[in-house]
Amino acid sequence: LDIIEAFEDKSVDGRIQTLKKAARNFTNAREYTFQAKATEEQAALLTAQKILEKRYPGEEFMNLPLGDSLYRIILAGDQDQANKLRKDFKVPDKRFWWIKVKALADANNFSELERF
Amino acid sequence: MKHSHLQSGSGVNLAMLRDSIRKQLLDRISNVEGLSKALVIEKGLISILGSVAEFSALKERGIERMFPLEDGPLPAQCPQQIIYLIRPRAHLIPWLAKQIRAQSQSNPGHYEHHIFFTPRMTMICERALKNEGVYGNCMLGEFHLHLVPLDSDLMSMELPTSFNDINLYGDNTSLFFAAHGVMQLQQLFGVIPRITGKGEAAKHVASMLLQMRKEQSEPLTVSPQMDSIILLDRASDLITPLCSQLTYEGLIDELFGINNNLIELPQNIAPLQPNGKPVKVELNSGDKLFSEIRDMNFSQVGVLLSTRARNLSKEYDERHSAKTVSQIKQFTSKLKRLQEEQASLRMHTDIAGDIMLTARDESFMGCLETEQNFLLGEGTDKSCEHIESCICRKDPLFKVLRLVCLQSIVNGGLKHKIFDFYRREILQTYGFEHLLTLTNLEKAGLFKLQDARSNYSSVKKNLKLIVEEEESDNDISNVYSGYAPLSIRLVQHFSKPGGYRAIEEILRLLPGPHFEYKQETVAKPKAEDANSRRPTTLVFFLGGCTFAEVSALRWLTRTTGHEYTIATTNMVNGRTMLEGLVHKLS
Repeated sequence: LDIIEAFEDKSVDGRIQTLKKAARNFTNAREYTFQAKATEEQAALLTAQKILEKRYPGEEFMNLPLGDSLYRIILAGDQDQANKLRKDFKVPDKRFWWIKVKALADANNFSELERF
Repeated sequence: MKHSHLQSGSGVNLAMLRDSIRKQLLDRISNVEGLSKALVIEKGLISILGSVAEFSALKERGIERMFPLEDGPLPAQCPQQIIYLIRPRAHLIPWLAKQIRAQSQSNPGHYEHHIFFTPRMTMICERALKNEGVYGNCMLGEFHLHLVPLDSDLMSMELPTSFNDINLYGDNTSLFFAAHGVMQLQQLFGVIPRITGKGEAAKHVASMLLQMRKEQSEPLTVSPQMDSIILLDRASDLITPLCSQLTYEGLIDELFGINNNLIELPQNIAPLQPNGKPVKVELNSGDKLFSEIRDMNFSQVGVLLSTRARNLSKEYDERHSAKTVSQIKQFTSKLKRLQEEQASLRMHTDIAGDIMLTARDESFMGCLETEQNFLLGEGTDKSCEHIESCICRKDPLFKVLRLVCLQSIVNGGLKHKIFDFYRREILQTYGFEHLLTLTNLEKAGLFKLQDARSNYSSVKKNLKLIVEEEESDNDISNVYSGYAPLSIRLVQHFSKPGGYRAIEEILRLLPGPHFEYKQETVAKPKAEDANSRRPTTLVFFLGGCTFAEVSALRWLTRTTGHEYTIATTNMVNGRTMLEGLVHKLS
């Protein structure tokens, strides 16, 4: 478990690498399957966030929780991207709708809100 | 400064404890030679020190300046004798070593440094001082302040991290200090003949106590004023602190946070002081009105406040009917009291009004309902809709954790699917770093995978943890509106003549061992005492206790023949207990 501490202060790429390593270690120890999966997912999230930051210059995505990332994407009006992220990370419907409604309302995007 | 709140008509007199601590502190300072002294004090200790000794008394003993200990140099204009007062925490040593080195370099031989550790020095600190190379350059001492008296029936060690220290890091220092605290009490109030308790930590303290008594050379000759001590390990009852306290004082603690009897009033109640700091109010039984309402269920507080307001205005109106000189004199003599009462009434009405707004809030009610359902044993084996919505809304993390932990405990752990579902939802919403938070919760036994069938329902039934509303007015369950704190039910049973034997089966279902020891007492209780005195029990919570539990014990003191005095490592509520376990990003 000490490995988790290690990634906290590294560069993005370094962090992704460390996370992958940590995930492998978790997989080797049998009782940590949940941790292994969660760590893998976090590595994937960081990769996705790196791409998002390129697409939306000036916006910060790095290290945000998944929920907050989704919120920002929807706020920016990119429904397709949000749906893709949602599918990749298997966000339950209920929570996704919550985030979506909140983001659309905050963006004053009423036409999209009515399409529900 | 008045300390009337420490004295009460019955039970042990904690003002004696305060006096002995005060004397010890002032002696320590007097023994430092020199006329001009500076006191450098760890921040967390400042308010504690204030409750033990007033600044004027320190001044009389040569303290000219006081500084909070910070990571930085001391001012250049500094008295010659420097006295440090700190907790034995290793991370503070480098701060203080830097200050000592800087001063010795700038002015060799001029300054003298004294370090007092409270309550005790530890080997880790000694080693840290050696590593920093200042070990030989300063005088070391100890200030044995184990238990700080907070009220006439309540003492706290004010060690906010004790639960985590014990249950997460396996660090038993606070238990060692607790044992010393009890020894200190025995010196003042006599040997306690009967030691009982429940839980791993409790057993640990009990055996230290017995060992310390053996090693003590001179016998204690003070006649015993306490009949028994009940040591309770917080880990044996994790349910109670996770529930929302519903007493007035408990709610104040949940919403504003009570720290060493002090609360900071939010801006909507009292505007900021000119220096930009919030107004601080001291809450203790010195405030008559507060001592009446602190232990009440909040639903009853409003009625009492409005009756009081009416009575008070009636008394004020008497001035119109005062005609003769003597009547007017009589009224003016009452005026000061009336004004004090009015001020206190106004403050508590403001606070209660603010609490009311929160308590009526939908999200608070929702949480309360969920809690009560879990306590009844309903819906604990499936994912809870209310918790899901809380996560979806991204409500404060501790609120979510409090509920999932409660569900986990009453259900004897969660099923694989639900456990993973909650964990995933939490990580995706609050951030991946909370993987460490979840691991901490697991280690502390608060949130885990189901490994055996839950025995909560038989504990609940046999100890009558759930009480119908009509009956709960006459029961300790009043403090949680229907749930009788498990910890206090145990105290009730332990206090019975036969001790815990009647509920031994149930005790086995709860974590940790239970035990009973007897201590020999040399001194006999005074004859006149034995008849007039009610049986007195010291209840010591290891790992924290809530204000609602204190209220429940006070209720027992009022309604049974028993007198309870309470000691704890620290005051907790669900939020403060979980906050220490939440991983913070550096």
